[in-house]
Amino acid sequence: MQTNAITSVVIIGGGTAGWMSAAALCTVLKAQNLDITLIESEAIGTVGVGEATLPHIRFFNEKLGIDEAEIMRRTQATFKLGIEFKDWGKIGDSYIHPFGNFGRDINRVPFHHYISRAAQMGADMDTHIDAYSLPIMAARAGKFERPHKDPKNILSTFGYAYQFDASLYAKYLIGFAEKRGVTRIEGRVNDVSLRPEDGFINAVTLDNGKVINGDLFIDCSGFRGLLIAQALKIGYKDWTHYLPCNRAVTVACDHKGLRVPFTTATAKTAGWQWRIPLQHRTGNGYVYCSDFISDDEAAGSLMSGLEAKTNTEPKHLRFTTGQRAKTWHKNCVAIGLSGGFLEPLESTGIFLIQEAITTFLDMFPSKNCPKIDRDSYNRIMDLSFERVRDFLLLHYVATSRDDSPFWKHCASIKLPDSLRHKMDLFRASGRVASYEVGAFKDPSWLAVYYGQGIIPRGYDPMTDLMPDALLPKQLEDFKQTIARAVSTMPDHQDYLTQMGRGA
Amino acid sequence: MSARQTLIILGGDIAGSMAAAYLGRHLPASRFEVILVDPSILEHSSWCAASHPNLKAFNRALGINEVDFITSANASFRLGDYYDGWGPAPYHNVFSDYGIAIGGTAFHDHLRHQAGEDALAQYEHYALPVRMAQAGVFTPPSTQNHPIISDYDYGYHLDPTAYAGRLTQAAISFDVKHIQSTPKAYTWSENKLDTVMLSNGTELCADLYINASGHPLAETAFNAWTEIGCAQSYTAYAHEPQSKRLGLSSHFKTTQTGWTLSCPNQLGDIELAFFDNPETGEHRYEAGYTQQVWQANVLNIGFSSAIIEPFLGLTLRTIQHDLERLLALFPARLGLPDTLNEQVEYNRLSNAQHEYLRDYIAIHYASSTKSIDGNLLPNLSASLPPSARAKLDMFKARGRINMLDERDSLRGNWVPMLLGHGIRPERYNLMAEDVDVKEFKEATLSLESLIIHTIEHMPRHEDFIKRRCAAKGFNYGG
Repeated sequence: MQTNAITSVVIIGGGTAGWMSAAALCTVLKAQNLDITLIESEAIGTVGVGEATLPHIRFFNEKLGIDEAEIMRRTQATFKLGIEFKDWGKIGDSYIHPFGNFGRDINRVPFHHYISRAAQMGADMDTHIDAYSLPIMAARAGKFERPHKDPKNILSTFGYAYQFDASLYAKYLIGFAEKRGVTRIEGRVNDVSLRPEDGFINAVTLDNGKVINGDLFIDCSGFRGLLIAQALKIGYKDWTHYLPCNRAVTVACDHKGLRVPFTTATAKTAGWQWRIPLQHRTGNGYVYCSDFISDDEAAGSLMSGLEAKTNTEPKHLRFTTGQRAKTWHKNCVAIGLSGGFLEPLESTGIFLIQEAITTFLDMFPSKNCPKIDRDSYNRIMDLSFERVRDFLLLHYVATSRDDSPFWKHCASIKLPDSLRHKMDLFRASGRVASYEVGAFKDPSWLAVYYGQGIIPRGYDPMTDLMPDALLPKQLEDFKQTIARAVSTMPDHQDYLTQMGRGA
Repeated sequence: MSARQTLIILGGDIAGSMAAAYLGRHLPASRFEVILVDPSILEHSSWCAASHPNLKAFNRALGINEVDFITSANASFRLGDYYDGWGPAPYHNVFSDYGIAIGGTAFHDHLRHQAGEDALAQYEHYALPVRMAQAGVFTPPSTQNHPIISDYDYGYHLDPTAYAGRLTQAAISFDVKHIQSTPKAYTWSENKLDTVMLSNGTELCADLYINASGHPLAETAFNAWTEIGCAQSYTAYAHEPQSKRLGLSSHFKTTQTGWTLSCPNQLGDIELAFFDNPETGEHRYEAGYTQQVWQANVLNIGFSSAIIEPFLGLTLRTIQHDLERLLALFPARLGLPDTLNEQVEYNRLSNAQHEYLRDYIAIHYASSTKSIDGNLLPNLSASLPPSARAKLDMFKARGRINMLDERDSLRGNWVPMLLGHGIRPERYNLMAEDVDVKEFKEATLSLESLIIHTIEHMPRHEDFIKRRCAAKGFNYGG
C-alpha cells in the first residue's frame, strides 16, 4: 500500500454517472478498501429519458461481472445494431450508421472505393453502401442474434449495444454497489468547504446539517455542477457555435409494432427527434434550438408524431452544449453532465461517462492529486469530447437541406480546421483521415458520408487491379453473402423473448 | 481512359529500390508508369542493416517469400536491440511484451507492487525473446495463438546492398523501367520539378518524382534535432564474423567518442561507429526531418525526408511506413490542384510520425546514463522537446506512457528502455493492487517454466539457419 493513499471517495449525485462511478470504484479498486459514499436526493430528478448506448457498455458491464441477460431484463433493454438517420442528407433519405464495417478489403483496398468506382463506371449495380453491411441489412429486416464466435464467419463481423431505461440501469447499480460496501445517503448538498491551504474540497454539508468528509470528490450533480462549477469555479467551453441545439422535449409512449434493433434519429425543422425502442415502451425526444422554434411548438410537434398513445406529459429540458474547461480540478472529478454535454445524436452520453470513469481509474491518484495526473486526464477527456463533437457536427453540415432557418444556419457554421480537412480529403479522394483517440473510427465516418450524400470524386487507383468485368460479380457475390447470412438470423423480437425465458 | 501518368524514382539510397518494388507491385500499369533511375551507389545503406518486424509484411506484399528474402539478403534473425553502457546494466529491448499484463494492468506495475522498486531491475528476465537472445537460440513464434510463445516478433539483420539488388530485380519483374544512370541536372518552374537530365544524356519528365537520392533536391525547411543528443558523424565497416555465435540482437555499445552499432548477418558483421564530433567520422550528418516532405510534384522518402538513427531498426522501418502511407493516400490522378488534400494529409502524418520518433530518441538520450567501464560519460542531451518532456515526466511520476494519436507506436519499447536506463517511477498503477500475491506468484512461476521449457527445445540460431535458409557464403556453418 502506498503512503499518501486516498481512503475515502464522496460522489455527489446519483443517476447513471454517479452509480456507474460507484460501481466501478468498488469493483476495480477493491484492494484500496475505499470508503465510498454517494449522496443523492430523490427531490432532484435525474435526466432519465430512455437511452441508446455504444458497444463499449458491454465491456464495462463485463468488467463488473454483470450478467447480460439479467441486466437486459432489469432495464427493459432491446438490442441495438445501429442508428437509422432519416431526412438528414435530404428529406426522404434514410441510412443506418451500424456497428460494423462495410464490405471487406479486396486486394487490400477498402470496399467503399469499389462502390465509388462502380458508381463512376455507370454500372448497373447496387451502389448503395447499405447492402454491403451485415448489421444494416439485419437491422432493416428486424433480425438480431449475438455475433458468431468464429472471426472467420461473416456473422461475427459486427458489434452491438443496447437501448435501455437508464434510470433502471442506475437502480440496478445501486443494489450492486451497496452490496459491495458503498454507502448511500439521501440528502441535498447545501455547502462545500474548501481547504484554505490548497483549495481542495474538504467536506460537503447536507441540508440536515450532516458533514461528509472525503479525500476525493466526484461531481455527478448534473448540469448545475455543484462542486466543479459552483464551488471550484471552473468555467465551461460553450460549443453552441458548433452545435446550436439547446433544448429537448421528451415523452414515452406505448409500443406500436415490433421492437426493432435500432434507434431512429429523424431530422426536423429545427433539430431532430429520437425514437428509442425499449421492451416496455418507446422513448421519444425532440432536440431543438430555441432560436428557431418555441418550446410549445416543439412539444406539439413531438406529441403529434408519436406512434401510439401516451398518458404522460412531455418533459422539458434545457442544456448548453459544451465541455467543462477542466473536468479534473484539485481533488474533484466531474463525470456526466457536470463534465459537459453533447446531444445524444450518436448515443454518446453514457459512453463519455464510461470514458471518464475508466480513464480515471487507470490513473487513480495519490491523495494530493498531482498536477501531472490531472493534466494528462484532462487532455484525454478534452480529445474524447472534441472528437465526438466533430463527428456530430458532420451530420449537420454534410447535408443539402436548406428548407428552414435552422438548416440555413447550420450551413453557415464555421468548422474546426481538423473537420474541414477531413471533409475535404474525403470529398476529393474517398480517404478517411483517421485519428487514434476517438469513439468513431473510419467505418462510422463512411456511414455518415455515404448516407448523407457525400460521395467522393476520386477513389483508390488500386481498385483498377480488379478488371472492370469482374467488379459487378464481386459486389453481387458479397451482397448475396450478406443477404444469406441475414436470412439465417432470428427475429429480434423472438430472440429477446427467448432470452427473457433464460434460453 | 486518360493517358498513363509517369512516376520517376530518383534512387540513391535503399528507399529507391524499396519504392520501385512496392509501387511497381501495387500501382495499376494501366494508370501509372514507374521508372527507377538507379545510380548504383547506395548512400548510408549501413544504417539499414537491421530491420523492425514490419519488414516481413513488406516482403509478403511484394510476393517475396521469406526464404527467398533471407538467402538473397544474407539475412539472419533479430529479436531486438542490446544496449551496453547506456544504463546501470546492459539491457535488451525486444519485440514482445515483457511479463504478463494480469487483469489488463501493465506488468511493470505488478512487479513494482509485488516485489518493490529493486525488482524492476529484473524486468527483462520475464521476456521470452530476451532469454532466447541470451541463449542464442531461435524459432519463429508459434502460429497457434498460444500466450507468450505466439506473442513475440522478430526482424532481421541483413545486407542492405544485397537486399536492394533483390528489390530492384522484383521491381523489374513488376514492369518498372530500370535506368542505370545518375541525375546530373534539374529544371524547375518555381517549386515544380519539370525535367531531370541524366548522365547518360537522356532527359526525363514525370508527373511525380519520388526523391530517394538521400538528400533534398532543393532548399527545404529542415528541422534538425541534433541537440537531443544525437551523434554527428559515422564510419561504416564490414567485418568477418566477430563471434563464433550468431547474435540475435543489434549491439549498441557506448564509447568515449559516441557509440557503435554491430549488426551480424549471415556473412559477417556490419558495424557503424557513431561520433559526437562531426569531424571524426567519415560521413557527417544532421539528424532531423524535412517539414514538407511532399511539395508540388516531389515526394521525399528515405534520407531525403528524415535522418533517423537506427535504434530498433527505425531507419528502415520509417521508409516502409512512408511507402505504406503513400499507397494508402495514392491519388487517382497525380498533379495539383487535385492532389492537394492527399499531400496535406501525407505531410500531416509524416510530421506526426517524425515528431514521435524524435521524442523516442530524445528520451533515449536524455534518460540514459552512459558509461564505460564504470566511468560515467557526459550526457550530451541538451534539450528535450516539450512533448518528450511530458512523456518522460509522466513515466517518472507513475510509470505510465501517454499515447494520444501516436500510431505504430513502438508501444512495447518505451518501458524496457526507461527501466533499462534506471528510471524508477515514483508511483505505480493502483489497479495492480487488485492482484494478490498468490495470483502473481502463480502467473510468474508458470511464465518462467514456460520460458525455460520453450528455450530448451529451440535450436541454436546458426543451426536454425543452416537447416532452413542458409545463404551462399553462410559463415556460421562450421
